[in-house]
Parts: sequence; C-alpha cells; structure tokens
Amino acid sequence: MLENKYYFDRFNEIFFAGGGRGIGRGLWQFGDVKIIDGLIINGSAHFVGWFAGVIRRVQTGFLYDYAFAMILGLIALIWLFVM
Amino acid sequence: MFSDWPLLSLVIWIPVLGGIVVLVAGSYTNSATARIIALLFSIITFVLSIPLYTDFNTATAAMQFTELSPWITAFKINYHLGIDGISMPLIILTTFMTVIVVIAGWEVIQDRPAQYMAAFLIMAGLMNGVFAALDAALFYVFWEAMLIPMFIAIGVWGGPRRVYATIKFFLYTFFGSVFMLIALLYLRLESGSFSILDFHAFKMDLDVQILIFIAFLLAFAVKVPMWPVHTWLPDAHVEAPTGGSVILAAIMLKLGAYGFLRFSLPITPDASHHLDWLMISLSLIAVVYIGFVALVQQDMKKLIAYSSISHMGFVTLGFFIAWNILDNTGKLDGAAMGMQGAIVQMISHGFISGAMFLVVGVMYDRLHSREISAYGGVVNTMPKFAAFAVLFAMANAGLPGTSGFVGEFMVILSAFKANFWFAFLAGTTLILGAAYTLWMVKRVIFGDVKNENVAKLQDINNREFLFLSILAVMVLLFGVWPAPLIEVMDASVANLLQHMMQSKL
Repeated sequence: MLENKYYFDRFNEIFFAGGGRGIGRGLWQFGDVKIIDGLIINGSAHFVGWFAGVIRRVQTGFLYDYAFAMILGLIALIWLFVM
Repeated sequence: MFSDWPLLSLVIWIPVLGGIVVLVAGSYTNSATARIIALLFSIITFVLSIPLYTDFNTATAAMQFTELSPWITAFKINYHLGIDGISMPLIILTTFMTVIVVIAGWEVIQDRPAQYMAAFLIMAGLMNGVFAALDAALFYVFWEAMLIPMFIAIGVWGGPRRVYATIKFFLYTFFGSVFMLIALLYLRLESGSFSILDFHAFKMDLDVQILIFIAFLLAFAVKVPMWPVHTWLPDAHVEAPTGGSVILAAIMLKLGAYGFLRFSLPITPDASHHLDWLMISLSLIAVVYIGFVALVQQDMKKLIAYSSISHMGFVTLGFFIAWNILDNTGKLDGAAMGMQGAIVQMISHGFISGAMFLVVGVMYDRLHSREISAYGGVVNTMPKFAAFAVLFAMANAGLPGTSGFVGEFMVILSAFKANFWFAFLAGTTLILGAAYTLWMVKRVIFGDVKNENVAKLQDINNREFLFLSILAVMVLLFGVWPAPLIEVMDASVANLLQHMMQSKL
C-alpha cells in the first residue's frame, strides 16, 4: 500500500512537474530566446547594422563619383519622362 | 464644489507641474525636500482623482467630466478630455499607484532622487492624459510622451543591462505605435475630425477596417503585451528599478488593453469580429505558453513579468470572446460578464503585480539579488514580510477572496459560454499560475534558512509595512467586494457591446 502511494507521487513528480518544467524550458529557450529575441529582434537590429555598413560605401567622398551618380540619375529621369 | 473644477486637466497637469517643481527643488535644495514635495504632489493628485469616482454618474455611458477647447485649429485638433466607466477606474489606479511608488522609492533611490520622483510624477500625469484623451492627436501625444520618462527611469536607475532593456522597450513599443499613428491619420483624412467619438461612428468597408484593425493591433499588442511581441517586457522589468517595474506592470500594460477598448473594438467592430479567432488564439497562447515559460524562470522579476503577460492574456481573451458568446447564447449578458471580468482583471492585476514587484524590491534592497537560488527560508528572519509575500503570491495565483480571482473567474465563466476549449485552456492558468507562484514562494520564503545572507535579513520597516499593507487591503477589498468597480463600468461596457454588435458596413 505504501509502495502504491509512493509510485503515484513519483509519477506526478516526474511526468507532470518535470514535464511542465521541460515544456517551459523548451518554450522559453527555443521560442522566446532563439526565435523571437534572437532572430527577429536582435536579428533586425543586426541587419540594420550590416546594411549600414554596406550602404556607407556609397559615400565615397569623391566628387567624380557624385557627378557620375547625378548623370546616371539625369539619364534615368529623362528616360522616364520621354518614354 | 469639486465638479465645477476641470478635474481631468488637474489630474493630468498637476503631476506634470509637480514633477517640474521637484526637479527644480532637487537642484536648489536637498533631496529630502524634493521627496516631500513629490509625495505631496502625488497625494494631491490622488485626492483630486477621488471626486472622479464619487461624482461619477453610473447610469450613463456618455463621457463625463468633459473638457473641450480648440487646440491646433489648423488641423482641427482639440483639447478634448472625458472619462467613462472604463477609463475612470484606470485613472484612479494610476494616481494611487503613483503615491505607492513615491513611498516605495523613498530612501531606496540615493542617486539623483529628485529626478527619479520627477520622472514618475510626470509619467503619472501623462498616463492620466492617455486615459482621459478623447481627441486622437492628443491621445497619441500622451501615448508617446509617456514612453520618455519610463525610458529614462529604466535607463538611469536600472540594472546592469539597463541600456539594452530600455532601448528595446522604447523602440519596440514605438514601432507599434507608429502604425497606430498611420491609422489615426487615415481616419482623420477620411472622417474630417480627430475626435475619437466621431471615429466610433465613422463607417468603413471591411477591408479598410481590417487594415485599420491590424494597425491598431500592432500598437496595442506590443503594449499589452501579447505573444509574440511580448519579449520586451521581461527585459524591461528585470532591468528597471522597483518603482519603474511597478508602474510598468500596474499601469502601462493596461494602456494597451484600454487601447483595444477605446479604439479597436468600437472603430473597427466588423474587423474585430472577423479576426476574433486571431485575438483569442494569441490570448490563449499567452495564457498557456507563457505560463510554462514562467515556471522555469530563475530570476524572480522575470517570473513575475511572464506572469503579468499571462494575466493580460485573460484581459484580451475577455474582450474578444463576445461574438462567440452572442452566437451561442443569443444574449449579451455573457459577453458583458466577460468584458467586465477583463476590466476587473486589469485593475486587480494592477494592484497584485505592483505588490509582487514591491515584494521582490524589498528583498532586492537587502540582498541585491533577484535570483531564486540566492534566497531560502526568508520566513524565518522576515515573518511580517513573508505574510505579505504569501498573500500577494496567492492573489497572483488567483485565490478566491483576493481580487485576482474575480476577474479570472468571470472571464473563464464567459469563455465556457463561448467554447468549452477556450475555457479549458484559459482554466489551465489556475494550475500553471499556482504552480509557478507557489513554487517560487516555496523556494524563496519557506524552508530552512539557506545561507548566511538570508540569516542576516532585517524584517520590513514602517515605510515598507505601510505600502504593503495598503496594497493588501486593496487586494482583499476588491476580492470580497468588487461591486463598486463593476457598478461604474456596467453602463459603459453595455454601450460598448451594443456598439460592437452593430455592423458598420
């Protein structure tokens, strides 16, 4: 009889309590930490940083680069308005 | 006599003025004077908010204590204030919690206390503004403005990762709010006025309504917070100072829920009906998923933060089961109970989570640790404190007799009328909530004294006893007698439900 009671308690402890904790840890580490925080939040922040690093190379500082860009833009605008 | 005064304007601007006075006092006098001035202003504001309750007419759903004056006439923006049964309890909750936070931060904040008190006073005024605003532009100004004092409170007086947490909080909530601005501007251009009550009456097609609903949803879902945009809250709470956490949990989360009540549901009722399955799913995920996540937290504040998200899941659930209940029962009574339960849960959660964060703050002030593993057997050295801690933990778990039970019970009962499975999943909070709260209490409060740090703990002093006992009284009062709260919101909720059930197409 004592054995019976013991086994039920142990079962509850392992299955429900341990299972609950396991689900909690899984949901927390995988769902919250990795996907929501890691991928979307920090990921988007990292993306902005990476993108800034790429785009800043457009600012060369050389006037000929800017003049060239202006000529390209002018050609594009004329093409858009004429066609 | 009181009803002649522009009470809403006073309740908004006196704390802001008080904050400025405290800032000036902090530069020219010592911090003790600044604290006393802050306490005075917060008490004056609370006293001024009491006539909002006593002079409130519970028979009507119309806006009361209204003030209307032109502000920016070029864009037809008015300074339009008013409250109904939904916003009035929230304003009183705000002024009340501000007094508690000022008392709680009294000696605890040693570095720049005048600025700390000023930040919270100004924040209180701005939050009152959000609840009272009836003009969309005014609402938006207050909504965004109140982010700034909270940003500063977390960023200056917070924990080690405070800068990450506060920037995350600010950008995350701001990101959602920008979509709300777009929706409000669209509504202004289409309807010709900024008045929120005009928006309620404005008709739109279903696809337009759906887009507006999603825009509002982004703003309010981040604020409430709903899963999956909830991750700013645990970081913000862990890194915030105690008072910041209290205001964040007690009031700021309710702003998101209030937004659903004031904007999403009345302005886009058909879209809300169309997408109610989405809101119900997200709410149930919040209750169950977040309940499991709370179970495994090692940091007490993070545990209570996740518990807050779970409780707010009840609030959004209560709002959006209305149509299911109407379909199943043909009457609005069940839907009214669900919505009233949600609003009661908002107020009760304000008290309970505020109290729980204060409880953790009391322990943190002594040991400077929030880890559960650093504590054990606190009841042996701090028995009076342990009594409060266990009371608030039980209230958090939803023990009948405490205010936490009333709201949850009403929402679960209404959910039964909507769909058995909604009630079943919502009811798992009774298990999970008890599990994580009681387990934390067991590990921290009960048992043998774990280490010498716990052995040296001093029990709570008079100041801490004061604010803990005031909150205990409120929790027990609304637990056994929620009638005053339900009476004031009855007419407004009925009116809102009528409005929601009428199609706008």
